Amino acid sequence: MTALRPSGPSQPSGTPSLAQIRAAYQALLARRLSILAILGGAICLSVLLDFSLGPAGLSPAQLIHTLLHPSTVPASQRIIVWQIRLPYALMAVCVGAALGLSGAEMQTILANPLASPFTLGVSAAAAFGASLALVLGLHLPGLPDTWLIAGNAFVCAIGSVFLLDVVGHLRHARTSTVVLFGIALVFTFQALVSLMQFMASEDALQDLVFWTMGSLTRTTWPKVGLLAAMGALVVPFSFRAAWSLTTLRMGEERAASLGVNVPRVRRGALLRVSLLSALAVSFVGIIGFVGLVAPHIARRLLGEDHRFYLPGSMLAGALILSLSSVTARMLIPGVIIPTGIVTALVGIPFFLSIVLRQRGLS
Amino acid sequence: MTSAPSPQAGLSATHVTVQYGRRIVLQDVTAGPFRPGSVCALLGPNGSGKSTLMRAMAGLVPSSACVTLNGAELSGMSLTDRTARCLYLPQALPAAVHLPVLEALIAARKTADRARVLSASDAPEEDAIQSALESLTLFGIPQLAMQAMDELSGGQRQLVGLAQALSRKPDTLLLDEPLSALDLHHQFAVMDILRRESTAHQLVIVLVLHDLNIALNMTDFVTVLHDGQMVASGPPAAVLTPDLLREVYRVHARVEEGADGRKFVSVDGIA
Repeated sequence: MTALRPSGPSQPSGTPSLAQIRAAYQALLARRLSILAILGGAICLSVLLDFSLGPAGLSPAQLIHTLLHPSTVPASQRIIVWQIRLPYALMAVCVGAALGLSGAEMQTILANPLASPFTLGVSAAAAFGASLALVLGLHLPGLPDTWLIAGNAFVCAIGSVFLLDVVGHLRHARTSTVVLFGIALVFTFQALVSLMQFMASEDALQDLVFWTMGSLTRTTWPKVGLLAAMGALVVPFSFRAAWSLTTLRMGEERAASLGVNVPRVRRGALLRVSLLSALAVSFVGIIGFVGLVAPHIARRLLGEDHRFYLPGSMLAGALILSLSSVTARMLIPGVIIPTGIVTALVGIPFFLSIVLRQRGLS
Repeated sequence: MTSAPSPQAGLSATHVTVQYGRRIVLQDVTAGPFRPGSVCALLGPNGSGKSTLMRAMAGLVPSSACVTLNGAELSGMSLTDRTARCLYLPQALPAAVHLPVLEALIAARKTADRARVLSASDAPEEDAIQSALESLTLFGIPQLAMQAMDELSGGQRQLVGLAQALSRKPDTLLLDEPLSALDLHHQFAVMDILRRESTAHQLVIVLVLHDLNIALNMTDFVTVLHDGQMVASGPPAAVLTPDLLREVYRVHARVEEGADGRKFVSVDGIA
């Protein structure tokens, strides 16, 4: 007996040569790159669509002209493009990418397909923080008025992830403990938000309900810039950890035995996720669905090699939210429906069509 | 083993005590030396501490152990350095993830590169692909290379896990029940491969086994654990006696010899 005989039902015609396997692997890598490129292209199209639809719709030519030569177009057109449409469109892309990446890393480090900033209480904590500012007028000192709500939301969201981290480091804590604790956080913060709603004045109540619906209309350039800067800071670390995260997916004990410092990888990911998702959620309110489904879409399309899965989740998240932003503008002419409402309605068909279609990798 | 080994050659663990809370899982176990170029079996009933001893030797559980490999102390090394020399293969099969088998092996290599474990740190991807393909060929499963892990059977995933471990080319392999999901053919084939690799590359291979007949005929050295203590150690034919099987495994058994000289355990009933 010198070697194992080929086994398995898929081998009627003998073992493939190593050159054939290499070629097949290169083809798979190329296919994944083209899927990423297609997602990127779709995002560009969606952003263009965002500009050209709606009451103040611009043709692509007008848009490019306004972007390149802002001084030569009418002031109204310049303001609409530069102060309203462009920040909204970019915010949709940035928030979608941030939530997509956060969900992807959470699902990997917690080994749970239901993990996301929404299902683990980050969004609910942010809503609670917002409610403190809106209802009780409690806020951080020294912040300008336009940042009060976002500041509160951010602090509470970070705090909730910190609690998750603490629970994860308790003795005998398993990943399932962290997930269960996250779900407990969701209910706790939802109850607290309801309490705030119960106590709130009519005006404050309206503001709070609107905030929790999730909307891109609160976007300003500094917020877009801050979120993009945070992404630029955090994403390289995520991509650097790609191999460790891929190995972690094959089992915690296996990863540890292959030399992955599991607690450190997990903690690093949680830190990145908390910064990104807390910032995103504090700027736009509760847009829960994206962080949960974007990773599943990326997994189906690209597999779980995190070199592709992480950017894929970002692009899928950005695309869903960008399309949602377009839809929010289109559903009722003249009214921008809060994006959080539309996201699930737009995302679910997209999600189901990909996830329900079981398929292999090649 | 061709020449007489130096007394330090191989993997030794001395004074291993492991506690989970108040429960003592291993009490002052001294095991080895497990010699390079040999295949050694760790035997014992369920819950006797076999997996824990392996994890302690690999540095994956806190213990008071002093573990040396060819005279060099492993206990003080960082986990990443340590796992590069002494690789533990967990009993749990690799998870059924949506990842091609080839990439599962590449990831196992690249993870180590990232941790700056191997001397060829930041080794080009080509090296990782090459060693992955060699390892899959060694186990006769190159045809699985492009299949996703979540499309494989349990036995196939176990072979992938073994290929993953060997593609890392460690000096020492600690394999926790590596045959548990395999059919009869593959059990013997894997033992053959391990014996050949051990001789060819002077590896230390220790594996947890439940099949005493495989231990008798296909290993060079056995260590028997019982209730967290080491009860016997030595050549399999000398260690696996009816008395020991009754005491440790609680069965009435005979060790018989076939016409070709191969030994086999025949169990008459439980004791």
